[in-house]
Amino acid sequence: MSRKITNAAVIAFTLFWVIFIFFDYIDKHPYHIKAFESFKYFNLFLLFQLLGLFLFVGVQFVNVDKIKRKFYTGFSLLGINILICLSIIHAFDDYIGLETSFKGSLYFIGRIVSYVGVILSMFTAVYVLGKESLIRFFGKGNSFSLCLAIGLVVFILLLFCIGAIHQLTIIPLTLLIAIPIVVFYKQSFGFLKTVLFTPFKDYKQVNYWGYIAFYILIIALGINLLSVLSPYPYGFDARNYYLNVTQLISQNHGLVTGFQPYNWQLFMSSGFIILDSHEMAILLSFSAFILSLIAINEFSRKIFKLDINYRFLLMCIFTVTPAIYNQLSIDVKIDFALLFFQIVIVHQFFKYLGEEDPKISFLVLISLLSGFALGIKFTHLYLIATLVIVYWSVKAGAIGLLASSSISIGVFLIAKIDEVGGLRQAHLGVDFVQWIIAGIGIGLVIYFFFTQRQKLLKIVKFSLLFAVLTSLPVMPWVAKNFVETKSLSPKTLLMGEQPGFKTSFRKMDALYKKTISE
Amino acid sequence: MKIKKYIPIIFAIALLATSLGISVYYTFSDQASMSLDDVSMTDTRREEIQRYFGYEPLLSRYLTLPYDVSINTNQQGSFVDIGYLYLAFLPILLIGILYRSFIKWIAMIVLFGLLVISVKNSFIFVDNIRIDSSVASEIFDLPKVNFVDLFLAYCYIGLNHVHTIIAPLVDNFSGDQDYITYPIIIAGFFIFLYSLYQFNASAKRRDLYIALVAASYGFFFFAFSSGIIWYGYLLFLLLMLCILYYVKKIEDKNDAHGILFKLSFIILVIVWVVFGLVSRISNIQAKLPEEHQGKAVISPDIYHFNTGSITSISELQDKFISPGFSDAMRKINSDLDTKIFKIGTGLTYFIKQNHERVIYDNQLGLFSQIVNNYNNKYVISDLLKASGIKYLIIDLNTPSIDNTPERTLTRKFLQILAYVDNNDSIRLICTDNLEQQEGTKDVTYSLSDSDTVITVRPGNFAIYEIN
Repeated sequence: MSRKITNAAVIAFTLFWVIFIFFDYIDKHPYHIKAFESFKYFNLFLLFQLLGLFLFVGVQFVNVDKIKRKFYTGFSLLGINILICLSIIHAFDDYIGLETSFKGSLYFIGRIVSYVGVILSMFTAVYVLGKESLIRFFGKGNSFSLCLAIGLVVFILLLFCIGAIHQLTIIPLTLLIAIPIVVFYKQSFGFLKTVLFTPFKDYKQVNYWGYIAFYILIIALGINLLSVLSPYPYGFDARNYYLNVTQLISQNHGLVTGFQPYNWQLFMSSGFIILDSHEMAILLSFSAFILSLIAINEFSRKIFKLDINYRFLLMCIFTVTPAIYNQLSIDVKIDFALLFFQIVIVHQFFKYLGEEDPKISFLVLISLLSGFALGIKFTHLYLIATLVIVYWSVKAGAIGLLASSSISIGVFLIAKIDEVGGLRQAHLGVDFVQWIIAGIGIGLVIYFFFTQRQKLLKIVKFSLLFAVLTSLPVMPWVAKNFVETKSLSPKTLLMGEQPGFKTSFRKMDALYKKTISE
Repeated sequence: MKIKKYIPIIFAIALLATSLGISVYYTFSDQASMSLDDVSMTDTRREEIQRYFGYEPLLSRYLTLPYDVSINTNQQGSFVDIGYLYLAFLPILLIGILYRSFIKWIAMIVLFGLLVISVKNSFIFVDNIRIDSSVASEIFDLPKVNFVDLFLAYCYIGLNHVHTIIAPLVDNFSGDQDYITYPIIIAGFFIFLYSLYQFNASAKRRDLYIALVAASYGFFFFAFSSGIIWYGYLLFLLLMLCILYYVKKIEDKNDAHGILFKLSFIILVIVWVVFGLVSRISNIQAKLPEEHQGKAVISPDIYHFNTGSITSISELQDKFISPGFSDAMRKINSDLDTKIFKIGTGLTYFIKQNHERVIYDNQLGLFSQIVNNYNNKYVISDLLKASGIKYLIIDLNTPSIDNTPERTLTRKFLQILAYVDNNDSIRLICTDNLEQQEGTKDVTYSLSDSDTVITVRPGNFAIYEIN
């Protein structure tokens, strides 16, 4: 009887909760309703429907394997995307009183194909560098996203070295791209064949709604792709920071003084250096989102055994989210690059946890990726702490979970990481809370020492190795910041100097008074 | 012997209780410290970062964060819109996977309590007018209300009645600052993580791993990110993966809860995808005139640039940013020794060697100090010149990010407007603010503070040269 009452209560609660949250959201986001009321692109919408229907009949309904195999490839995805972009251009010209000529369409196709060509070349070099490094040093190499991730680490490290001596110009960069492609030409062809002509692994399982999710995903990517091909970047953060640093790197042919570590902006600056084009730089940032989709696809397939239809749906839901497409098409940042690395790290970490006796090289691999991600954005610290907590929980049970959580939170508070959000000063008791929380962790570690020493040694060894190896890829930035500031303050060594001309009211006032007296 | 097994838990609970106890003691002995002083009110970080986090009592800010981040009660805009799917389905998923009735009831009560606190600091939009939660009953007297407004009004009124019961718990222990929030949220996290671990300990390994990763990362995101969405992209992706993984798991489950979950998920996902796509195509922008709303799937400069009809970037800048923009930037970049005093705007990109030339004062902290010490416009100009500052760039939208209850940023912005108005020592060289003199048809790109001038199209920036 009580179970029935509970079930009824759960049903009632579920109904109320879902309906209330949905309507509350609609109320606070009137622009969604306005988007429907102001919708103008009915012809474009009709074209998308007809195209989708045509492809559906040809691919899904007719269901010939040869056609399906050719459809679910990177090449056809690119082709459909170009078609979608052209459709948008032609639909838009009605509203500015112009007509897009055939020449204009060709001009656009030429631009996009050339940019894609350059990007593919860069990622070919990145991939082969990654694959070779994985095979030679880690005895791995069968994960597509891992090869790209390691390849990016190697490639950007080389960019850093060249940038440190202010030689980031077109010749060294072209050599950096061409040499790996030529030397490892077999892997290069293999990569291009995989990306362009090899169908997705389980394409045969795509059903009707999976196809719809896939098609909407392509449309969403197409709209956002066209929006970033702008004559100058939009977005406050893109102009003030991310694209700004990228441009400064290319203007100075190397590393720029100040700023927090900027691994991804180094990569993006290749766009300015090779083609003197900010669109290339922005496209390299856009490509980070594509990499994230590739990584989440691989992760959810290999670890969670989600079928391709669910994976398409996951990618579709994520891509149409306004907060995502805003960063994809308006205010370009580097969070998608961080997301890509984080997905790869979590994926590899799950595999690491699943191995009975993992090799030390595996931990080195995860740590290096983690350290590199830290050089993209410092919010990666959240994941670093998370991985330690999860490891301790899995290997040492509930006590390990509590101990690691306490120590992680204690370290965050003692290191004043909560100051970044500006909220630390609102927590009046933080000075004693941080030590009590850390004390819980230390106390539990001591308990472990007396009761399960072997286990403790194992998890402490992991934590120390992980911490030390994670810090290695950050060291070049620490060295750079020390050379620039000559300061040993941990905050300055990690975060670098703030950009901009340094002054204060006192300095300005003193200069003014000096001018008057003169 | 059994007690030995629980020593670590008892130790942890004892220390946590000590932390809570000390916090409660200081809370009651130092009540005055829970309000912000005037200096902290004007803290620039409070204005810039906390607009995502809210300004209600500190404990409420954290407890309402999942709701605020999903419903966007603190900061509106597509750039912070992650949708309703997470908030709608994760709590239901949680209840669905619990076995014991007693635990389900606790979960429902806790979720309901969090909703009550969240709604208290929310509002209802009625015809673009914001009606605070506390006066939701006024909605019934308004002329233009629809079904959604009425439904929400009834819900808000009911939830606020419940809030009167639990309000003393929050109000007596928390304020603008407090001692109690960290101990509570950290203890809450430990309890949640421990329960999650115990629940999943015998489940598939990947279920345990993903639950722990999502919960731990989620804690760090919610505790330290001040509600800034893009710091938590991994979390949102993993949570959506969890939801889909759960949906797949219950594909063949035909009990009432399973059917309801699947049905509501299908409907709301379809609605979400359609919303997302239509919103992206229509690309509604607040500053666009009504007749142009829905057209901006791309912008005209993108069209011209990609079809080759205009390839000169200067020409595009002058046509689509503001007339004279390229000349203004050329002027600024002609002498790389000059400094630029910049308040907001995204114009840094166009300034060469900006990392050495630009003085950033986005929250007007520095300019406010100058004005407070020197209230003569010409003296201020001389002071700026003495520091090598030749140009002043102002973001005309600065007040729009001011969500502080005291409107501190807006007050500082008015100071700089007063400085630039009718000031011979400076010259406006470029703005995208479009004005019209009353009684005439002439429109000009200018920035005036006159009753006879009408703003035709509000601008984003103004660039001044200091003579």
